Amino acid sequence: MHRGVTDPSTRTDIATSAVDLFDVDDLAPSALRRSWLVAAVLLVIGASLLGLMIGPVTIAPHRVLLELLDHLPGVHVQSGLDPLEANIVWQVRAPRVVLGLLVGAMLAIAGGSYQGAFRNSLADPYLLGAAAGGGLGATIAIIGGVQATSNNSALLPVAAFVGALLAVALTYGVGAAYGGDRGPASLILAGVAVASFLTAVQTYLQQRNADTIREVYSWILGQLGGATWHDVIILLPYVTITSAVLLATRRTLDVLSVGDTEATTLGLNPRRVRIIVVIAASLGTAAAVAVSGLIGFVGIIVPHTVRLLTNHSYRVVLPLALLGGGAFLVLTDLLARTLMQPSEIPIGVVTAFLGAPFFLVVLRLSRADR
Amino acid sequence: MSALRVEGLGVTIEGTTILTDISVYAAPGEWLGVIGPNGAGKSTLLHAACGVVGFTGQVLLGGDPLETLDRRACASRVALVPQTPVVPPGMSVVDYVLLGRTPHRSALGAESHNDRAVVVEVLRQLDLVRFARRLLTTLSGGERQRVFLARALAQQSAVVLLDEPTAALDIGHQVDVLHLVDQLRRELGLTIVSTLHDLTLAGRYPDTLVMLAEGRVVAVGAPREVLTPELIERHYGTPVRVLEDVSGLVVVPSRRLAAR
Repeated sequence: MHRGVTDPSTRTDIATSAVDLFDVDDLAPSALRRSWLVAAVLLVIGASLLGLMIGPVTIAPHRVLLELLDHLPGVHVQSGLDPLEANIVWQVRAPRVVLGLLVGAMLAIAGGSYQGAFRNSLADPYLLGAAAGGGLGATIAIIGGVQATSNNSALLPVAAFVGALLAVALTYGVGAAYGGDRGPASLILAGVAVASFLTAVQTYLQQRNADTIREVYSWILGQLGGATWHDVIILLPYVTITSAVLLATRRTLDVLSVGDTEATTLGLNPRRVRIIVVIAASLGTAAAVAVSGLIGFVGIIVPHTVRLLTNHSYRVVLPLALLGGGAFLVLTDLLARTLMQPSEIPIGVVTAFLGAPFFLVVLRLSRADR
Repeated sequence: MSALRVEGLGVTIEGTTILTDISVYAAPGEWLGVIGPNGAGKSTLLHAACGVVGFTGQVLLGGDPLETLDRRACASRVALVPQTPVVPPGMSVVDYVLLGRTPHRSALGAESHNDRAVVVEVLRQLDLVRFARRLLTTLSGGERQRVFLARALAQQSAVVLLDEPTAALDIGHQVDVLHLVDQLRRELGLTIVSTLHDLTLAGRYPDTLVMLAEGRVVAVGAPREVLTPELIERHYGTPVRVLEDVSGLVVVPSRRLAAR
């Protein structure tokens, strides 16, 4: 038979038999399967429980579980924890776990969204200079006398936040001014240029103020230690709002995957979508960086793992990256604080150890795709 | 009323004039073939006709000036299959065809039941049901071309622009694709505007041909009027013979004499 085109008189029969042979579900577009969602939620719960149960002070895991149950509405059980242990669970471990969930979720969904907006599988939240700007902001604050451990420590996140946002604005301004209509590549290159410049300024300031170098470094390497409910409350609205915006763009990011020209012929305004994603993802990243320091690679590791395990569609990747990112960072934090007990490894070091090889795998896979 | 009318169209990109004073039209259900040597501006004409490059003059879609239509209204009236469509890694055929429904759903909303029904219908029409779950990257050139066409059909626009739909296909698949386009045009009443490099195929499928050279229209008419040895030699720069067999014209290049 002639390839490709069926005779009109037989086409319907062939099509019908094909539908019989191949499950009609095969004709449904990619969607977030319930089983994937359940698995991701279980992962978040599992990671959170481990985060609450394990720590330098040994507390029996079943007592932690009972303590949690006791706080459920309508449930009353005796956990047997003394006030100090209960305090460790609720004031030390719980805020650290919740902050890890929020920061991880934010970095992962921001990474997935950047990858969609720029059609670049190696794009991540630090792409547009957010990290370098945050680092510079924090450095200036520390040199200016703000100490991470003192009462005015609340100024440190603010300085990092302002620095990150200014850097992203600068990147966008430079990209728009000099890149013209050349698309996403100009913005990425502008991000590289801005990040290099800001990093150079930061290094210069550090060299000039060698006495604070250690403090700056400990912030740059990222940490969730010392997390408080106050940090959680600061970060929560940013994560909620920006994640909601990014989740809303998930179908649009699928359209954008065919490139700007074709997306335009499909009725989309690619530039507008990209601006919305960049603003939301950068705002969320800046807020996360401000409370946790620089934690790299989450935005690459998590979305790509989701793609490898499930599907490439952003309607699947973004929601699962949000959940998976939270679980991933809580588990990484667990490694960071238990591997070399009693001291802690900065969490940014652990994510970089995991992320750098992963980056190479993604680079190789993305080359194989072409 | 014409489905697509272009009047006094000019396109300049980064200071280079690509098209000058182009006026052509395609009636509903007509197949307009755009031919011309490399660099004549064929693809640019298609890109201007769907509003992805800026232009001077007028493009009318179903009688309405393109600039009065927003992007989605425009996309629901004209679809483009580019010469080399982007093949997103990891995207299945059914997801790709669903992208064609973008102009019909709200900016952030999910696809409706009707959108899915249209996609299923298009997959059946193009005999793609068995490929629905396959990744686009795993399909052969001929199969991909049908998937690209399927996305354009899912747009349900009256006008479909095809930029070199047979490029990179063997002769069997070239005929398959053009035959399929012709069949769909007749069944669905589509207006087709396609650029074509192969002049013999250009003489067989389109109702009307427009020949471009150096960004201007140099001939318009029935294939018989446009595919003449004189016009082809003048604008393609090589002598040809135009023969006729039972199914249409055959354009045969003459071998140039070797220089001594």
